[in-house]
Amino acid sequence: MTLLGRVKGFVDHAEAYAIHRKLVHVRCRESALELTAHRKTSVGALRVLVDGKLGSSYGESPDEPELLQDAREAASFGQKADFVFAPSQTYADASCYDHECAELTAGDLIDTCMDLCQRVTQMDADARANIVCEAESGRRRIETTEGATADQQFSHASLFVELPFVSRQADVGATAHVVSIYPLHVSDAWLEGLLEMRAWGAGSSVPASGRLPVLLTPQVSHLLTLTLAECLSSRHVAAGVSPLGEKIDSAILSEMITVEENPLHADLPLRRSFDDEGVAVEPRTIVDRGTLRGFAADLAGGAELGIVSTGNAVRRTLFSQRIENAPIPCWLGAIVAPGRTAWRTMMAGIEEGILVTRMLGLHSSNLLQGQFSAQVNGFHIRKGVPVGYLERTMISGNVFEEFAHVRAVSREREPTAQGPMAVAGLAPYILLDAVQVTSG
Amino acid sequence: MKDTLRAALRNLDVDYADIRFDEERKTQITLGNERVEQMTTFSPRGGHVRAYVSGAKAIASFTRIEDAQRVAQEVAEAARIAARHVSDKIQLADAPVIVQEFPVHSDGDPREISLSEKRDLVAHYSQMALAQSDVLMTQFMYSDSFAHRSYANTDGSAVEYEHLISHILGILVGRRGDAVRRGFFAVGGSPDYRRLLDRDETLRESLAELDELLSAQPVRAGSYPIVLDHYGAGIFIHEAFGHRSEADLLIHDPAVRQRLEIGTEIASPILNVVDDPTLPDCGGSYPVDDEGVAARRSALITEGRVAGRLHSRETAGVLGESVTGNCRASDAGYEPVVRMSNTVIEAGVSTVDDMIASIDDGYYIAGGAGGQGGIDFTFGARWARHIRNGKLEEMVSDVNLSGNLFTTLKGISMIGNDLRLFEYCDCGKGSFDGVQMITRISAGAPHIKIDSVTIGGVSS
Repeated sequence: MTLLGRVKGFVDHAEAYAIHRKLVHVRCRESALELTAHRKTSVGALRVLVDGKLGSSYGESPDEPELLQDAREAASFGQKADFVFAPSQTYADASCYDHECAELTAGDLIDTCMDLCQRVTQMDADARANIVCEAESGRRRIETTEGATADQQFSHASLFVELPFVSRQADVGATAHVVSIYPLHVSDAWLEGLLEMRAWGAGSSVPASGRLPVLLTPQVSHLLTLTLAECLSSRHVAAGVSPLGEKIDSAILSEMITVEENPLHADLPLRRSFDDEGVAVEPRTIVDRGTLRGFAADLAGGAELGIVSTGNAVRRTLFSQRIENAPIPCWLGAIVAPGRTAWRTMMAGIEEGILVTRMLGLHSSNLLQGQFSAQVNGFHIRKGVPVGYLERTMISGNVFEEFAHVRAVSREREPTAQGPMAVAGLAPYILLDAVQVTSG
Repeated sequence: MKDTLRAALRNLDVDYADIRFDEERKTQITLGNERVEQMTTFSPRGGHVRAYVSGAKAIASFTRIEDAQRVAQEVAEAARIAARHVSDKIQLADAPVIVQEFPVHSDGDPREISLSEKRDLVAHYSQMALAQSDVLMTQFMYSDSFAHRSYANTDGSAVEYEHLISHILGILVGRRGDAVRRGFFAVGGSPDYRRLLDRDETLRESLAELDELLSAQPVRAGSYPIVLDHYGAGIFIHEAFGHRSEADLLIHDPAVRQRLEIGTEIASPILNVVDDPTLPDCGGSYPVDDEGVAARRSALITEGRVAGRLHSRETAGVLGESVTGNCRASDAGYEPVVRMSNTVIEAGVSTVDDMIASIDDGYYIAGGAGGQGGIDFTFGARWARHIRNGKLEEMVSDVNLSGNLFTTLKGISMIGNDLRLFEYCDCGKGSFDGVQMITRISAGAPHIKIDSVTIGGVSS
């Protein structure tokens, strides 16, 4: 019997969430195998309403008998909820499952990594690769007493490659990701691009402090999308702490910036047809050529704001996406629209500026107001050419002020980075006109 | 449980293997603006196996203890496959065999407190914060966790150990006009629930800071002399040096390793830093790590020179040094990695007044809002106050600092005589399958003065 079947009759309303997940992980360092890891888990989360009061529980297995007892006890001390769980609804097809991907073994991934290491060495005899290759598959299922039955199988394989700079410590280098349902396709051109970036890091260069053009790679697009998630959270808008709360249909960013929430997008390797409360997702425009069009709501936040859920519940905190986290409003697929310019042309037009490939310590910024201040990895650009990797360099400002002055958006677009603060989606390179750069 | 784990390791045909199984009981209560957003009690369980064959390693996580033997066999087979591909063979350092139990004891055990009492305590702090004008949103999170961990390895160690922790975190969001700022409240971080009680004064201090922050202007970008308060200095040593003392971040980096050889002068001679998991009643204290090695105090910097580093059995084997008992995992889903415990800058002789008086144009930096470590490190402060001509003046906001490990440690010119240890903190570190957040960690420091640090901010 399913978890929901077991709890029906014992509570007024219930939402049962189960994820079965299999992960195979292989890690290489300096082109040599370092680790193989396996994880096979089935986890379950239960939310219940008893006399209108909310309680929840979580277990390492959806079959745990304590789940119901724990959730009922929590509800007995809880407070009235303003919402009920997701009703019966129809979900779009967002298939992202491949049987072959789901059956990949550590041996298969080792072969992929070793082949890639060999190709790197053939292209540059001095280069050594740090690689993380993963295959993940599973099934997520959410059922509610209101009739929602959301069920999705998923699988994807991912490859993270880092080529440490010759002159630098091991934790900085040229990096790139590939994520796909399967197979993982790594073209020679992709590898050549990575090796070229490694060559840019042959030495360091420190730009003079001041306001400079800053070119952001897709991997740091969460500076924009995470800030938008914070400011457009229905909970923050309802509480009156969002600076965007009264700005629907107002210009908040450059006309060159359009952001869509579309977890169904065909180019996303991890498509979703429902959010973490079983609410169906659908494409929505969030920022249309710089003008704000919508918020992000989960069931509770929507109730606080007087709107229905927009299908944006994500069980996450700033650093982790795990089923034991309570749902909060966030993006499941933030798609930043591409522009018309090649990103290399954008870089070539920078007289003096920086290319940012990674931001460190962004989590300590006040993103709820759009304020950011973070150390960056990347390259110093002079006369359109990278002249060395950045050292001791910070960028700071306000997202809404800096993204109001965008010089160009690239036509190329990539899936955004995997990582603790990452927001799922697709993003182009974005060239900001002038951002405070401070070097020590 | 120990016998079950030992049985799972029998006849594995490996050079070395270990296994642990965690049984936890957790409570989490989250209040958003006095409304209960989440009340959860749950009992996560799970295990983790590591196997080593001919210098290759394989690991796996599992959920049910009934699967322990099967998973151990699978991991052993995976290690045998991996052994065909490794070039850098892992050589584990020796560690004493331990067969012991380490039960936890608390006179204020949070498990004996009812859910309603815990909820009422958090609601009290939430109401108090919301009563202040301009505070529009709060989120208060109560959390307690009891963990019973069982461990066995093929050397013969068999250990059972327990952890107990409770804490409250509060995020206070205020708005005045267009200014939106956050305040923080963090108490607890020990097995004693009573530490969470009667903390109104601590919350009042946080609310007063937030009130002043709402009128503060963003800091000016540039390089300045700074005075770090206890918390800021603790975060600084954790991010700037502590992570570089974790030997797993060092062994693959020959250039940095050379610069951090034992005995090398890397800091001001007045600086002494230790990592000590044996300190009584501290957030980062524990009796034994997650590979069955007894915890011990490690000197990291003595009179400005590198004195030691933190190890797992793997990293100690690579560097030919002794184990230190610093290999830990946040839960059964993760491989244990090298982690700090209680990392402390030892007290010096200066007073904070002397430090401030010595600065013409700089900042007094207070509190920590998270950071990231590396040779170039960064961390955020809760607030700062401009120092002009030796005097504390207006508060400034949005303060993030960065620096280079080597130049900054040498730039410490004064160390205070007022050492204080943190209550609660946490730290994330990259691992297979994401970031491992660990809550059993702490730091401490007196006030310190650094002659030059880069601050990101608005244009000067």
